[in-house]
Amino acid sequence: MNDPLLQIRDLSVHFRTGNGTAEVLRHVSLDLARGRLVGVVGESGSGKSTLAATLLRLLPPNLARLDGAITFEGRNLLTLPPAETEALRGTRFAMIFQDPMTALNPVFTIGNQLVEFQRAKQPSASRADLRARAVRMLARVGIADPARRLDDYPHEFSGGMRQRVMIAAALLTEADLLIADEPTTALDPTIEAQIVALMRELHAEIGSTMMLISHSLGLVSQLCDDVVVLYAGTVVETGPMAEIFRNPLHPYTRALIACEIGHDVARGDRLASIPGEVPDVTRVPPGCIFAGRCPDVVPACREAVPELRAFGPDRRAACSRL
Amino acid sequence: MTAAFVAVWRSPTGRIGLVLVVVVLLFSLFGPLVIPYEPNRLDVLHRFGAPTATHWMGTDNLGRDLAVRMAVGGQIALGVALSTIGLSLVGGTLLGIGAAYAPTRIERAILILFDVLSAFPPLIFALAIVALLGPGLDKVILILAVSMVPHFGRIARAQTLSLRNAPFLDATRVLGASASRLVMIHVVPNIMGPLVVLASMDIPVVITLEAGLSFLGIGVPPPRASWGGLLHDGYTGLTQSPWPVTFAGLMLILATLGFTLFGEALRDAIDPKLRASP
Amino acid sequence: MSLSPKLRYVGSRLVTTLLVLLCATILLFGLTLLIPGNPAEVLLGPRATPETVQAYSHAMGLDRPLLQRLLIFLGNVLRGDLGRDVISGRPVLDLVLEVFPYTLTLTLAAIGLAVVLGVPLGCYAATHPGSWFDQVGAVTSVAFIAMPNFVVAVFLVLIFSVWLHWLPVLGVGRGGGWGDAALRLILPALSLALSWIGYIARLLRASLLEVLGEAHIRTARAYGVPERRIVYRNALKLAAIPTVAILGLGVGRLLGGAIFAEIVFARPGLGTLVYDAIAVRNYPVVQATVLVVVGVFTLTNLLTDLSYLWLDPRLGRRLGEGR
Repeated sequence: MNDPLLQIRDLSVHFRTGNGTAEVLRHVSLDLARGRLVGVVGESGSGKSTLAATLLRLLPPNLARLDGAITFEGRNLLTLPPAETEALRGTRFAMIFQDPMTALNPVFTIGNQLVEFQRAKQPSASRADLRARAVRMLARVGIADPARRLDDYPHEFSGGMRQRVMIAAALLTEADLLIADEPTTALDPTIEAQIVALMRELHAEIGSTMMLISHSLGLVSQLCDDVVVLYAGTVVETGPMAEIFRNPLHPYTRALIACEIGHDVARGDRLASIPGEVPDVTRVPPGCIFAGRCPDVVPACREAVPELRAFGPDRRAACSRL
Repeated sequence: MTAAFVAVWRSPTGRIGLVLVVVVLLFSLFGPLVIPYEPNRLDVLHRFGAPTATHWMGTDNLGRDLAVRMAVGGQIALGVALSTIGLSLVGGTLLGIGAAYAPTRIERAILILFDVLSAFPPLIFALAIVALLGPGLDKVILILAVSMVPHFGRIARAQTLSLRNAPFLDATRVLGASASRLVMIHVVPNIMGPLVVLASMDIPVVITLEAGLSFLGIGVPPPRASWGGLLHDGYTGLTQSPWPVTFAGLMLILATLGFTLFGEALRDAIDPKLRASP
Repeated sequence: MSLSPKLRYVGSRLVTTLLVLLCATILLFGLTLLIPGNPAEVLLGPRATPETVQAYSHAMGLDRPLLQRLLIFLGNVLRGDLGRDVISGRPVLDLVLEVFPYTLTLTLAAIGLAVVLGVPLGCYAATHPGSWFDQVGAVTSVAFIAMPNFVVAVFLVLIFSVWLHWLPVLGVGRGGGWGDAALRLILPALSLALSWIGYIARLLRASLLEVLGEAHIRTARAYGVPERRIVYRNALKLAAIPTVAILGLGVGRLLGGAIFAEIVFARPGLGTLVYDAIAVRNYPVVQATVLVVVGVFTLTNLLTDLSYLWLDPRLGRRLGEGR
C-alpha cells in the first residue's frame, strides 16, 4: 500500500503551437497507489488527456519538451528507450478511450481486434485461445451471445456496447494500470450509468489500479477512491474523494463542487458557471494560475506560484491562502 | 479571380506551373512571329537537321523548321483544349442543372446518359467515330467535348442540388423570378467555382488526348503541325534523328506538367474539397 | 438484417451495368447511321463493288426498317456475332479474341507494376511526411501523372533501344520463350504504368495520412500493436479503399492507352488491330473492338463497386441508412 505503483514527479510537457510553446502540464507530481481508483478532474484544456498520453508515451508529434520523471518499477519511463516504453503498452498499461465510435478500426471484426490487442501480452498463444478468452471477457462485460458477436464489425454495435468491448479489451490485457479517458462522455446518460456500474463492479472484482480521467466531478465521485484536481496543467488539490467532497480546500475545487451540486443532472460543461476562462497556456501570468478567476484572490496571489503543500496525511493543495 | 492567382503564385508548385504555362503560351503565340521560317515550307536538302543557331530545334523529316512547327502545334493544342472544354463545360452545366431541376424520370435518363458516355474511354470513343467519319479537327473537338460532358454534368448537378434548398433561392422564387432567370443569375454563378477548377484541371487531359489522336494519325490532319503528329513523325524517323522526338516529347511534358501543377494549385486555392475526386 | 440492403445494392448495380451496356451498344449502332451515303459502302470498305454492296445491304438487312435493324443487331451481339472482317471475311469476334490476351497481359502487367511500385512509395511517403523523400516524391508523382504515356513510350524506346541497347524493345517475342516475352513486356508496361504509379503513390499517401490520424490507430498503439503492423495492416486496409476505386477506373483507361504502347512497341493487340482497321476503314473490326473494350471497362467498374462490399464492411449499414 505504501509503495505506489507509479510516481510522477515534477512532470512538465511543452507543445509547439501556432503562437509559441505551450506548457500543457506544469510541474505535476502525484502518486498512483496500488489497487486504487484515482480520478483526474479538470476542464478541457487542463492537460488531463495529455497526462494519460504521457504515461503511455503516445504524445503528438508537436511535443517540444518533456521534463521530470515517471517512476514505474524503479525505472523512469521518460528516459527509457522508445522500444521499452512501447513494450509496456498493452502489457502493463492499457487504455479505454473517450469515443467508442472511432476508437475501433471499422474494417476489422471485433474478434480480430480483441485478438490483436492481446498479442503484446501473449505473443505465442494460439488464435483460438485468444478468441476463447475474448468470448469469456465479452460475456463478463455484459455482451449477449458473445461467440457470435465476435465476428461482427464495430458498426454493428451500439455506442454503449462498443465501450463495453473497449473495457473488455483493457481487461484482457490484465494490465497493472488501466487508464480510462472520458469513457462515458460520448454516451447517453442511461448508458453512462450502466458503464459506470460495470466499471465499479469490475474494479471491485479485479482490484487493479485505475486512473479515470474526466471533466465531471460527479462521475469521478461515483467511482473513485482518490481525486486529483487539475487546473491549466497544474495540480491544485489531491486527496481521498470523500474528504475532498466534505471539505474542499482549494477555491477551484470548491467552485467545481458548487457547480456539480447546482447542475446535478444537467450534462455539458458544468464549469461554465465559474466566471472567467482558463488562461492561455502559451502566456501564463506570474503567480497562482487560478488567480484570474479566483473569488478569494489577494494581491500576494499574483506574485509567487503556490507550492502543493500537505494538509493531513493524504491531502495536498496548492493555495497560498490556506 | 485575382486572389486565386495570388494563391497559386504563393504555392511553390503552383508557381512552377504558372511559369511553365506562360512560357508555353508565349512560345506558341509569338513563336511564329519571331521564327523566320514557314511552318509548312519543305527543304529536302536539310532533312533531320540537328539544332543550330537558326533552326533552334533542328528540322524534321521533310526539312521543315521544328521550332516553328512546335509553336504552331502549341496553338492547335491550346485551341483544341479551350474549345473542347468550353463546349463540354456549357453542355455539362446545362444538363447538370437541368437534371437537378427536372422531374425524377428525366433526371434518371440524364444520369444514365452520363453513365453511358463515361463507359466509353474517350480515346476509344474517338476511334469509333473517326473510323466512320474520317479524321478532322472539328470531329476531334466534338468527340472530346461529348466525352467530357458527364464530368462537368455530374458536378453541376451535385452543386445545384446542394444549392436548391438555399434560402436565398426561395426568396427570389417568392419574388416571382422566372426559372431561367433564377438559374442564370443565381445558380450558375454559385456553382461556377468547382466547375472552373475542373475545367482548368482538364486542360492537360485534353492536350494529351488531342496529341494522342494526332499521334495515331486520326486527330489533326497533316500537313498541319500538331505535337502528337510531330512526335509520331519523329518516331518514324527515330533512327535518322533523335531531335524531333525529343523536342515534341518535351513540349508535351512541359505543357501537361505546367497545366497540371497550375490546375492543382488553383483547386487548392478555390475548392480544396475537390481533392478527393480523381 | 444487413443482407437485404446489400442484395439490393448488388441488384441495382447489375441493372445499371446491363442498361449501360445496352445503351452503349445502341449508341454504337446509331453511329453507323451518321455515315454519309450508303453505310454498306463504308462498312465494306474501299474494295466494295456494287454487287457486294447490294448483297451486303440485303444480308445485313440495311433495306429494312430502322427498329428491325436495331433488333437484329442487338440479337447478333447477344449471340456473339459482331460481324465479319471486310477484308478476310473472318468473324471479327475471332480476330478480337485472338489478340485480346496480348492486350490483357499488357494491361495487367501495367497495373501490377503500378501497384508494386506505387503502394510502397505511397506508404513510405505517408510514414515519413515532410522528409526529403516525401517532398521529392510529391513532385515526381505529379510529373508522372502529367506525362502522356505515348511520350513515355517513345522516350523509353529512344533511351533503351537507340542509346543504351539494353533491352529487346519491339514485338512480343513470339517463339522466343517466356523469358524473352517477359523482357519485351517491361518497357511497354512501364510506359503505361508510370502515371498510375504516380496516382497510386499520391492517393495512398493522402488516404494513409488521414487514416493514421484516426482514433483507432491510437488505440492500436496503446495496446502495443507493432507500428509496422499498424501501418501495413490496420491502416492500409482502410486507406486502400479509394485506391481500389481508382484502379477500377484505371483498367478502362489502360485498355484505351494500351493502343499507344502496342503501336510504339510494335506489339499485336486490340490497339494495333483497331489502328490497322481504321487505316482501311474496316468498320466491323473497329465496332467489335470498341464493344469489347467498353464491355470489359463496364464490367471492371461493376466488380470495383461490388468489391467495396468486401473491402468496406460499413457499406452495408450505409446502404441501409440511405433508403
